[in-house]
Amino acid sequence: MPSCDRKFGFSTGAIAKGDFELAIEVIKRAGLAVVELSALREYELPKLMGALSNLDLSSFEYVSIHAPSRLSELSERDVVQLLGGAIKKEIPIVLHPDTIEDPAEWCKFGSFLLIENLDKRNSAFRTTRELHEVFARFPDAQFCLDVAHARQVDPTMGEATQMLRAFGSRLRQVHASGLNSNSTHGPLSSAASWAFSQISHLIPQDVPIILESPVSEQALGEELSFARRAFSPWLQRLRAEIDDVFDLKVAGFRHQQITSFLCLLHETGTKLSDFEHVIRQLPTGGAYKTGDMFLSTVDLLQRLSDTERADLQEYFLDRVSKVAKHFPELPKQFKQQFS
Amino acid sequence: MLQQKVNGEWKSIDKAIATAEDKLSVLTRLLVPPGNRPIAEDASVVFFGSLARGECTSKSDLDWIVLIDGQVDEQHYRTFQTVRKSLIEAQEIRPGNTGLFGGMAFSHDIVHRIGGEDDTNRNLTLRMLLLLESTSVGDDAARKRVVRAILRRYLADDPSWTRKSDGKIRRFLFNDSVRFWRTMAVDFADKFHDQAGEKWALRNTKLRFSRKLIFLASVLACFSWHLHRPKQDSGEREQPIDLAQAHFDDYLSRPPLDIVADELLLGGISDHICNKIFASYNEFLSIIDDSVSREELVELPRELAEKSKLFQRIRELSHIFHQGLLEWLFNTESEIFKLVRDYALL
Repeated sequence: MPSCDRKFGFSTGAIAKGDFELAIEVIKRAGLAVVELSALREYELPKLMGALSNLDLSSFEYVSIHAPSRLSELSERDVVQLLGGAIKKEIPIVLHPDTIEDPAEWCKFGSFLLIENLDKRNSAFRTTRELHEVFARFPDAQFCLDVAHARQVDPTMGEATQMLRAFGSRLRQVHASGLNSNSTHGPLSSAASWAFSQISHLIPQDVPIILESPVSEQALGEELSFARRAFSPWLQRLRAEIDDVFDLKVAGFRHQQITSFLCLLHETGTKLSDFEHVIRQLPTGGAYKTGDMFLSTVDLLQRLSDTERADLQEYFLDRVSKVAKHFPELPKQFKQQFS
Repeated sequence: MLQQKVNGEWKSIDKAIATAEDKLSVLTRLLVPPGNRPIAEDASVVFFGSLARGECTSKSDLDWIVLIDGQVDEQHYRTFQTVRKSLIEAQEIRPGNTGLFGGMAFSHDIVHRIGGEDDTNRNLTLRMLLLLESTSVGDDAARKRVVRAILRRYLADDPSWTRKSDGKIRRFLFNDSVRFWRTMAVDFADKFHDQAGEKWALRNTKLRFSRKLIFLASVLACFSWHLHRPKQDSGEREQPIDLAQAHFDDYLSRPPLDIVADELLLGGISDHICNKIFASYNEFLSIIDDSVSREELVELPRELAEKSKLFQRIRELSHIFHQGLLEWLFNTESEIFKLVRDYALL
């Protein structure tokens, strides 16, 4: 499935805290096919479960419910009973594992139970090692990876990578948001976007991504676009590869860089109009760290959707026409390539 | 308001304020991602100097840091590089601009290392500048948190602090403000020695005006806890230390020129004194804003200072500025004089 077809949605709690009906309407208006119904605060649960049968969720391809994260009024059994209504509708339940006191209560949810990794405020269930224990107790349970929690616990994203390797086969959905060291949720930052892009190749394309960034309806579209770029960074990377050859910022080397590449195309008999072949021959550069997955331009190109591919081709042709204008001697020198 | 009251015509100050606002808008467009989203969690891009004082001139340097107040994250370095690259590409800074500014700074040292051998010159300078002349573009939360944490340390760890809101001058903060002013003056001499007098005249000019101005603002902030301290609620539920922190935070959130102007208005200081202070400062800004004059100050060697009409004019203006401050702060009838006498001298 092409990367642009990743499915994004929002948690109702991020859109309108305590008002899931309003949030659902906002998310529907945005044309999103994914929603998580938040009952993070326990008082929200009875109202949500009472209304569940009457909620029109038909436009959504994926719906989940976030169980309360802390119980004081309701007993664990009450919560499990209330959530039973969702299981009948085959709606998965996202659970913070520190809520579990009696595992037997939750075992009946089977594969509809999604265990979420926690943030650093907790003393357990933050790392792969700590999560192994809970999955051993719930062998059928699935995994909700909160990338913001994982990043807070380990900003290098090493822990997130380990979780995806260990529990990738259980991965059912992803939570994403901006999260500072005080565990306050915010919009995705540029730094968070970069961090998430480092592990995006490990997240299957069909796993829904739920945004927990608190945003207004007006800012929802912008947040969504930003998240799409974070989890599908391939187009941006290929643009950067094109620029490294055709639009090098170091003016003194620009001409030399373009000429070297055109010589390569000349030797292989490749025309600039043969877009895919040109992209395949672009040198894959840029700094990457030990342990990073090295993606060649061929790998990157394969990850693009048809729309992104067309977008990239337009970008490439624009760069080529600028080169021809800026260095008029090059089309004469490399007639075959520019033909 | 002060300008209207004293019928002053301080066009260079007005122009510098407008230039600073324009510059901040440019930097915001340049550095803040679309949708006003954060560049990174737990970090603010902080600017100091004339931009933060709200008195920018056409040739003002851009002093900036990425201030980090959070757990270690390698992304912070990437954030710093992104900011630096954007500023270089927009020709706002030069590529080789390094030193105190143009890097990353971490809140822990700034807040925890006050005094002692570990409080380096850089640490002291960053701390005081954060309090006295800092602003940020984009998400300001990290800078605000650090400013409040610095104030908290000065207040909570002041040995003279009492539980009552008695309006006593906070000596810890006051002494460090004085230390910073003296450090700036000593550093001027040190740079003169180290850099063989390079940019001597420009640095001297800044010491006479803008550096003195931020010292004055810090002294006024310390005195303000006595002069304008807020009243505690009748039940005394509010902790005096919380009250003091909020007071200093609010007081110092204004640019230094505003702080001085407001104190002159509140103190009912004569138009004559106000004009001495502000008209001389206005002319200083006018000179600094003029590219020819600024260039002369950059190039002027110490031995030719006596022959430079420009530098002699600056000396003259600085004496007027200084005289204005003396007439205001050493008026023996005023309340502020008692504070100057009791705290600033010994």
